[in-house]
Amino acid sequence: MKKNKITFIIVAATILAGTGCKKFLDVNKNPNNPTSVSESLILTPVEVTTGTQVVGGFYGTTSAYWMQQLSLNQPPPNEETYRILPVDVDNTWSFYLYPNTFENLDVMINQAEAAGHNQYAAIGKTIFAYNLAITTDLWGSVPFSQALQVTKYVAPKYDNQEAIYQGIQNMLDSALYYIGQPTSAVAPGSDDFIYNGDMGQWKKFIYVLKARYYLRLTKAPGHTAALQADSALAALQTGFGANKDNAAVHYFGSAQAETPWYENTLPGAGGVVLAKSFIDSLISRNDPRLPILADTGANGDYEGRPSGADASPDPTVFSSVNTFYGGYLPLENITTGTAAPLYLTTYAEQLFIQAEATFYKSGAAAAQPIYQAAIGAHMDMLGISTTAKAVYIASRPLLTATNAIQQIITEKYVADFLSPETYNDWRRTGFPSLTLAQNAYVNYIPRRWPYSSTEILSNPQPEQQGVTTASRVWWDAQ
Amino acid sequence: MRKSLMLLGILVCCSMLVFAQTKEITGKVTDSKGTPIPGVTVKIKGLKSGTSADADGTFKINASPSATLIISGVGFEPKEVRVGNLENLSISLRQSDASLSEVVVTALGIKREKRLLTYATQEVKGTSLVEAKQNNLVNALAGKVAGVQVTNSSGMPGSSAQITIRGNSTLVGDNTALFVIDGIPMDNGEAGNPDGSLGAGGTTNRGSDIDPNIIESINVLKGGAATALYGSRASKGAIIITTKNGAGKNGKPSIAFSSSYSFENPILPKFQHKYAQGSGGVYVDGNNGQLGSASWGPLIDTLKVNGVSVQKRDNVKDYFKTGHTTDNNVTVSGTTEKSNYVVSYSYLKTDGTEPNTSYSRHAFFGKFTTKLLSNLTLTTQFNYIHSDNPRLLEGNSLASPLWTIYAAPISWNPFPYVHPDGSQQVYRAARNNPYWLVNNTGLDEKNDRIIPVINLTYSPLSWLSITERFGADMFVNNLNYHENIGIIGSTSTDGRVYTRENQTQNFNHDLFLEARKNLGDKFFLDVIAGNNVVSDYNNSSFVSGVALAIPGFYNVSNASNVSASYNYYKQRKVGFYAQATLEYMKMLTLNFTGRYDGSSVLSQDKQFYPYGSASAGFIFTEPLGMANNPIFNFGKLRVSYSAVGGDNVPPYSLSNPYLHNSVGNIVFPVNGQNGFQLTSTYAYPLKNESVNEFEAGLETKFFQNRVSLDLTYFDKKSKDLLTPGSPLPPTTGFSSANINAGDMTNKGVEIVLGLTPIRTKDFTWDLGFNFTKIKNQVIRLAPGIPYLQFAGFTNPGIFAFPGKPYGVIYGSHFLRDSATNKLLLNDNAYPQVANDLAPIGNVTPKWIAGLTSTLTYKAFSFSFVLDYKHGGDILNLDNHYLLFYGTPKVTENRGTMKVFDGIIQSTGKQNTQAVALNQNYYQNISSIADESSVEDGSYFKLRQASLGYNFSSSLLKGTIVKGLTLTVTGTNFILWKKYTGSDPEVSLNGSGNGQGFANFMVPSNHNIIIGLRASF
Repeated sequence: MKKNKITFIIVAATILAGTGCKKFLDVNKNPNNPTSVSESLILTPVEVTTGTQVVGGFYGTTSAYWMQQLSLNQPPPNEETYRILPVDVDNTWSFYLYPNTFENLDVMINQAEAAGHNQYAAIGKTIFAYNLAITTDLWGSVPFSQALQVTKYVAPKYDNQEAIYQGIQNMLDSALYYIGQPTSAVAPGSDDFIYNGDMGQWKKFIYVLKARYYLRLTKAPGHTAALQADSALAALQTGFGANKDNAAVHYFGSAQAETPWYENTLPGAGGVVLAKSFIDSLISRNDPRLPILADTGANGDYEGRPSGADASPDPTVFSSVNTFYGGYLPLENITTGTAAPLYLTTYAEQLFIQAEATFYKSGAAAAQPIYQAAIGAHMDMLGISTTAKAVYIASRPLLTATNAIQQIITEKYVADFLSPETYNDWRRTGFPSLTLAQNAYVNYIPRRWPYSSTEILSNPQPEQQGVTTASRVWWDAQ
Repeated sequence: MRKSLMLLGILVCCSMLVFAQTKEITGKVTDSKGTPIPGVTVKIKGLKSGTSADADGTFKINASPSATLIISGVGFEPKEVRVGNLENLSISLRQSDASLSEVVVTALGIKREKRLLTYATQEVKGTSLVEAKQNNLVNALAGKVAGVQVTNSSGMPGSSAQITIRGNSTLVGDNTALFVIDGIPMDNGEAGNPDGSLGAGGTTNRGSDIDPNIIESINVLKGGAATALYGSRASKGAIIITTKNGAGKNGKPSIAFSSSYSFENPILPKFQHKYAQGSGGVYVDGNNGQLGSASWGPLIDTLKVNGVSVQKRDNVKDYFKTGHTTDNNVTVSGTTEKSNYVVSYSYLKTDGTEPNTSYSRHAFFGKFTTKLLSNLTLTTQFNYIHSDNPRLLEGNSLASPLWTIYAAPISWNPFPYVHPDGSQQVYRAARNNPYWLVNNTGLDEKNDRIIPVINLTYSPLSWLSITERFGADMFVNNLNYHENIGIIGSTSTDGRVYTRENQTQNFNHDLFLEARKNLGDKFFLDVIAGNNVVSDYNNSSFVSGVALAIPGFYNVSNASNVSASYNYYKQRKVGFYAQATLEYMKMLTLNFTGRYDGSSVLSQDKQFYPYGSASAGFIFTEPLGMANNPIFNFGKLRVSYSAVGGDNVPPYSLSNPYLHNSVGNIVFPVNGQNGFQLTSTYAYPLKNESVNEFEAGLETKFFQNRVSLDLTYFDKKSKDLLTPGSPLPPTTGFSSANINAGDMTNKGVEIVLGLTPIRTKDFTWDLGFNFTKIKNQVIRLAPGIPYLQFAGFTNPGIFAFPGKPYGVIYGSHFLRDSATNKLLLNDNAYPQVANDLAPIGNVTPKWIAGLTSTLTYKAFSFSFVLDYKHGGDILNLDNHYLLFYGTPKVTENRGTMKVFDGIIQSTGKQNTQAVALNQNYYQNISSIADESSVEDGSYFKLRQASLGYNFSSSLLKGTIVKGLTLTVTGTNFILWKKYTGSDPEVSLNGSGNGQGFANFMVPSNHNIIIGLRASF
């Protein structure tokens, strides 16, 4: 009897203890971070990442140095003299692009599609395609079809660039489809730092991107300039109409909300100034945009730093990026550039695409007025007076069959100031013609980025074998 | 005849009657000083019966007058007493030879005779810790215990130290041993720097709060069998700390006072003193507005500007000063009939070698033990520690002064550090003037900690005791940081302040019963069964403001943009444990433990997991009757196998939440718009990890305990290690994972040798030697996890790769011929940097050894501790940057010619051409390869050397002073090292994993301390 009683007590205590224990231990729900958020809360950081970390980040500065628009006043070897190692590109690949941009957009798009929030789906797909193009333009073959599925593919295989470019066009088409769908009440607005939720402008932006990516393939194997021009021109029929349509990430300029080129030109960045070849070319053409793009140096004139030169002990003699594009002016400690927008695609760029495509299709004479309108569009954007604009445009040589591409791309290079598109255009066309920087780490301007060190370590793939910065990506055929 | 027989018979009967009559005997057992000994065993010889004495040493037993009582107690020589006519016995036991029946404190605070233990332990006495004169208790253990590796992190006051036992047994989790004070586990974590240790350096580990003055002894439990009762946290070994009890004559308090003063001098790395600022031999005048980051200028001795010689400076030496530490302690303790108490107060203050850095600590400890009833004892203790640690940043953030001081040209004058217009005096772009940083930035860590413990022991029966123990470890950690307006290259040029407040409360409750019973004459059984509940709470508030309006006013109200975050963590554990120990004739011991744990941080269906151990010890000299053998008098064989389960992962690791991150310089909310990003860490379901260990040992004593030799072999396998932050290919959308990621083994040998070469009335000399060799290998990582990273950048960084030892340094290297491993040189006969990354070193040492020596001659005592580490590479990131700028000593040889031992790649021939080691070589070749910064971290150190004089009682007769000792101690002298930097014992990651990583930290010091100790 006593034994049963004791047994009962022990059993009861154990059971009580067991259930009590489980409840006592059920305290593992995260009170600090939400497990689900609305699309508007995901969209803003993604747009800011595209602006601050990608287009205005390492990708932006590297392109500006290699294309000799900017120069870095540090002793070589460095980023400017073509020293780029797998560890240098790691942040862009391993943080800003795949997890912060692609994975977040993937989740946002799926969530929007499931809930019928069509505008968010459209915007998400557009930004995804935009960044995907950046990724493949820099690294060639990259994961796409097997990417972003961690439970299924823990070592994603690479897709070739041709397939990815097809994927980009498909994604932009899908975005257009969602724009055509009925609008949802849950719509982007102030959370959209690019267009404030204006889907009409997003639609134009998508078409301009389609045109840009069509024209990218003029030299790609299996493609011809003429056919690409056709596709581009067709897309541009629904493109931007004016500078107000420019696609840009907007920054508010207050503390901890400054535009990326402000951060990139602060003294802590090590002395980022304008390059000599760029300043000299603007001076030689009497370009009225010079005072807007740059400011004078300590000697009172516009002076650029020779690319790759040894570090100058007094960098204040060189011109700095002016406040229109967000630059910090050290001589006068001017900080008004903090709210400059970060341009993704402009009306001027569109017109240059149109001019080049028209040249391929219809010849130099047909391209001429479009080319002039393109220069004018950029000047309008900078606020150049009508007379100065007219004088400059008149001073430009007429387009001919032999000089058209050179003229168009060289002027596009100025209109695309601080845009990484200059690097893509240079690779594709060879313009503007650049002399190798001094103290060059390798004796060529790199034609791609090395794969990231984290990627090489964590996901070895055959496409990584034998790749150097001299290897050309698929559309960069000779 | 018959009558005699009958008489005899009656006599016998009467005697038997008399003999058969038992009477109640009472007695009291004390030691030779008169202090009662609680719990001694009183047995009747030849019979099974017996009893135990109470907490006050008194006992009652029924015995016949012809009986003989055997009184025995742990740590004492047994005594036999004939009952005879006595009814009330007063028995005094003599302390047995300490080394044979040494008593050590094991898991749960249970005292055991060391000779009967079935696993490896090693003891360090409290006095030895105090002698080490270290601010951080962890450092005081260095070189003293086999199997234990202690690594100090930096010379910054308040810097942390890491302690590992038997190697790293987990991959990225906490590898430090568990600290237990009087039965309560103690938090030894680091609050950490919000900006990350890579850029900003570490903070203090909480083990530094323990005042060595309150410690009676430390017992290091090394293997799983020893620690299985403590649960998961002890899978890395446990440091059992026992605090002092009251001592002294009944009724009269004894007072002890100690004071010490020390000088600290930094061990500086070496720099070149010949070449001024500039490049290509051309001078750049950093003193007059010109900017140039490198020191590849002309020889300074002949350099003149406008006809005036340029002054040569030693900026590194000028920056540091001699540091000072004062350490004062007063301890009052006493005993009464029913209780004893000890109260201690210490104040420690260190002024660091770097300006504006210091560490101060108030430590107050009180412990009171009393008998509420004859079989109920209550102990209450209370530990309060307040520490304050103002410091500067370390690492390679631009706000770290050392980053600039080590690279500063010898021609540059940093003063005055501001110009009249407020801008800093700098010699290059993108760096701050170090003195400006000293005066305009600061990191202040304050910590307030309370550790109360209550212990109730109740013995309802002589063989049964029930212990109820409750302890709390509660602390508030405040971290304040400021940067003034005008800082270069930080979050904002207009300054920044942040405040972080962490509140931690750890509660630990143990309820266990212990039954100790003699089974007959030969067997002794000890059974423990108990329950443990742990609740840990932590909340953290972080407020950060940038862009200050008023210069020099460091309050968040002064900021134009303020952001805040708040985090709360809670985790709980429940454990049921039992241990059974069976002893046979005090020479054969069998020990079994079992534990069933539940943890809140693992997946719901895997929350509970069992583990245990089985071990045996056999003193083979006992049956051979060799206890009195003059040569070999003690030998014991031990073997054990244990499994300890672990839940080494933070709470909330099972879900994929959205995080409120900033994007570059952009902090959300922006213009009222908030933003979240999906975590880049993917959460897999998690189950417990397991450390399985086999241990075998031999303990021997020779020459009647003048020589002791302990050998231990262990084979430890860690399985299914929990590794939050395992890397995933980022193209999966996640860059890391929380996963059970891998297996690792640690196999090793520990040797402890003790010698007493001289023992006379006036002269004793004790020597101790310990040696540890551990072979570590990462066996496998989970599918999809190619490697794990602990520290550094992607390259160079410290990693774990499958099939390689833990702690591989991975980075860029020089091209080598795969067959001969010789350098492959280019046509100019210079080495070439390869395009790929490869393993270039390993931070795990090959073996470590220590030697302790104590000499006493009359009133003098001289002791020292030597420490040797063999192998274990250091990644000297200082050099990685500085070689480019031309300031390390090795660059003084610029221009000299060298023939690289290698093969010219294009011809395949051995190189004979000499080439110049010039600026181009250092900037474009040497500093590019991470391999150039990997150095052998072997060292031979004199950890401490101490000379003391004990003033004799004859001198002190008539004064109230009972004892007075004067000591002079020197610590941390590097006798030999290969490392070209400061101290090869260094880590930017503080007490975390990824040791061997040097990145602009304050150099460690050698110290001279003068101390005085008096008792009243």
